[in-house]
Amino acid sequence: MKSLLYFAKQFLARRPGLRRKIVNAIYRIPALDMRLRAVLDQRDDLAWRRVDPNDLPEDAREVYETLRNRMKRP
Amino acid sequence: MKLLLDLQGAQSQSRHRGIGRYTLALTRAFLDRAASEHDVRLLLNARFGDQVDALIATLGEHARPTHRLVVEVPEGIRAQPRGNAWLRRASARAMRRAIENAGADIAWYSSILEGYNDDAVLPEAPPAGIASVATLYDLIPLHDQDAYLGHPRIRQWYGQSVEMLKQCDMLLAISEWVRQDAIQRLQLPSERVVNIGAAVDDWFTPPALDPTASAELRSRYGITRPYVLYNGGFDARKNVPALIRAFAALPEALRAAHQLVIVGRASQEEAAQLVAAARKARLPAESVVYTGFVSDEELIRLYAECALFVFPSLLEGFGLPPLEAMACGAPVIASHAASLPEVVDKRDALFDPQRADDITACMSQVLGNAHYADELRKYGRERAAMFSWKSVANRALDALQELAHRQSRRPTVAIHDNPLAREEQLITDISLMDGKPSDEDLASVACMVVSTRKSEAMQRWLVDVSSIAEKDIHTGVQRVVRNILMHWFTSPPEGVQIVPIRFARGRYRHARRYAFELFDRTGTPLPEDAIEAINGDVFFGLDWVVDTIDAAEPQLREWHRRGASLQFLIHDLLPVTLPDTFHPYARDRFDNWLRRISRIADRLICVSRATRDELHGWLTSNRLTYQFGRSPALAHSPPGVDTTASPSQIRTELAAAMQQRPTVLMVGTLEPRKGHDQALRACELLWRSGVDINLVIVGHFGWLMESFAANLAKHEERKRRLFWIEDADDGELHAIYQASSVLLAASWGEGYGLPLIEAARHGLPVLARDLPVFREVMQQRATYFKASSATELADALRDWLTSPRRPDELASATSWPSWKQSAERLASVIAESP
Repeated sequence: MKSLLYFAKQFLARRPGLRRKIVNAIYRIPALDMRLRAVLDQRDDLAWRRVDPNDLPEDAREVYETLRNRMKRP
Repeated sequence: MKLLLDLQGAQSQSRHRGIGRYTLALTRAFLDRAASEHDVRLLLNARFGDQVDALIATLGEHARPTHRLVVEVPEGIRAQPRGNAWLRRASARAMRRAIENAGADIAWYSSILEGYNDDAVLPEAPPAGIASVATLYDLIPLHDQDAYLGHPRIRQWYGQSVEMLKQCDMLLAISEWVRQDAIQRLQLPSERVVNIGAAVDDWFTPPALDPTASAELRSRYGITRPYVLYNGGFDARKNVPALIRAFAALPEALRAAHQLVIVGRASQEEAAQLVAAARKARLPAESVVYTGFVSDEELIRLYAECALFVFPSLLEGFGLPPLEAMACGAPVIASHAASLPEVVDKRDALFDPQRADDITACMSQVLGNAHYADELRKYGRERAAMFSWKSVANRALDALQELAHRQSRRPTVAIHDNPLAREEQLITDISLMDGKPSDEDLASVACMVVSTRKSEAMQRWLVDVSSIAEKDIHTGVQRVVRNILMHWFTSPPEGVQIVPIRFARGRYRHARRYAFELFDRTGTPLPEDAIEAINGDVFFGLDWVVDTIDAAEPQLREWHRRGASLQFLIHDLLPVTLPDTFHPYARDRFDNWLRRISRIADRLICVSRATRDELHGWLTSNRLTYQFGRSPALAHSPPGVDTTASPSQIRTELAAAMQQRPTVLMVGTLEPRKGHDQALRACELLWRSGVDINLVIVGHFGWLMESFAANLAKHEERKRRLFWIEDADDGELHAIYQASSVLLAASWGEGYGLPLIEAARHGLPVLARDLPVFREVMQQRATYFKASSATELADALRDWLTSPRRPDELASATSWPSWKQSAERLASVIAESP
């Protein structure tokens, strides 16, 4: 749902006229407005805190790979 | 002397105990005393983020980025529970290397006994080439191993910590008793253990007389009579049941006239033991009061107003509660065990804690003799005054200087001086450790290793382009981003590496694709890897990233802790200064963004002085909680002006109208604050009174102007004397500027005012509302009006049209900064120390 809305937002960013019409229509239905905005505002605050071996900064990845390669040695 | 002071004792769970208070108080006093003569750096554990913030706020300049080393420590390295032995050992080894890298003469550990139930980590062995010093609070668990070290994992953890203590070059004991105990139990040479003592915090003084506060305090805890007070812990060595028995054994008249007030946080088991002791001693229920935890403010009043403070502990490293009580003016008696005679130092105020009758006798002596009690109060205050943190800091400094002197005379041990060689050795050591770490463990250790590297020679500016990298829709803000970044890339500030970054998929990453696009490069850009800031980096929020700030803020806070400078560009404050002209949702989003960046920023740079002044007012009236307790520095740096485009044809019907009559031009998005509606009503008044002019509005539709746009569409003067051009390109706009008579800047608020500059550069006179920002940008090059109504604006327009005033000093192209000059000015502001 969130990613769908995200792409819709990107799509509409390039079509300001259509975007205006849709936004004006949604403004008139506060419950829908709040719901859509709540979905768009959902964030994963701590994603950066998790250490993901597949998504490391370059420096850390080099050290990680060196360590892993050396520990694989018989 | 270069000293690295490990402050984990003030960050870990110990921060809730005496160790944390001792560490913080001594650190403050020590830095005040030693920082001017010696190079003192602080080591902090990033895992305790909020405590890092609090310490930086408390220690101020002493904890500035150049003087702090914040180490990224893996999560879950505590000794309890088990299953993480490899990660714990690898982290301890990496911590040793981090300390070696700091290049200090001495590393001083505020507390060695850390990391049992939190993620504090100490080196597994003293770092090479550096003298190791540790504060020693006590070795009490070695006195009663069954009670304190019963669990095998605690015993192992404590044993490793004691081994580290033994290997330290010097221990700073908090009392002579602790010193002697360490010499004896650890079999250390006496010169390796120095007594530096302890002290009481300044705020422990007799409080001002306040009968209302006293009555409230007594009422809150059910204190109805004069009372005997105890404050402290409740483990067996504290001997509190003996105090309860001794109180019960007081002569009946004394006991009935007093209550026993017991202060401190007791576990359920401990509380039950106390209640059982009171029941066994046949004390009436109301004669013993358990307050639980009390604030310092309440504790000070309880100390000051008690009839007697009794401290019956059997083993004590120092004995802070009796000293606090003495400082607050309480008559104090204490056991003659361990360090307590050093604190109280009055033979007749000491008792044998093993004998309840001796405690009773000592209590009776004070409670039954008001004169003696007064004498003890006076003595206590005089005695407490001898214990100051300044003295403790002086003794610590003397000991450290002596150690540094001894070390300098030692033959130098060959160690790896090259950081790369040290890192290589570290990686080799870790890879040879027994165990089967997971990929996540290896990745965590890799991040820790990298976080301890020294800063690069070239400073990095991590420039946030999150919004424009996602989609460039050619807003005014994005024009600034594009131009500044382009100039910084082509001629970077000296000694600076420009790194565009964007927040995506939960963290900051390189924005390499956007950098490629900016220069119309072809080919495949490098992957958009995650990026981490290090000490010395600058993060610059060039883009307006309202969509990502909520998720990005925690990472920015972490970068700030590590020593990166956080700076942001602010284009305007319009949603907060003119809230009615924005949709509530947009207003709230802006307010949220502004609050978040203001709390963490070192510096906020506005595009105009007027906006900076507004921001100063906003910060003053919105007392925010800043990350390091300091509000951001404020600065301003104007944006650049585009080079003039070649004029193109004006559309036919507009060109014809502009040839027939004078033209009032308005340039800007259709939005409520721009004053279009007032301008149109003013022109309608002029048209009705026979003034023949055109009103030309150039700008896209913005927001909240639907009815105005509808009015324009059906206006009787539309395409005769009223024109709304939504789609003018730069060339046509240039031609319209040239063919107009005056630019009307009727806006109620602006961040800068680029159309005014563009008009002036085309030789077009400017009639502007009298706003500080317009005065700042245009100075004498515009005519100003104050019009709260359409009639007043019509009068101002009529006056101007009757006698057009062309300011003498019309702008030349060099009157306002070019983008190159703007980029250079902005860079020089960022480079200044905040």
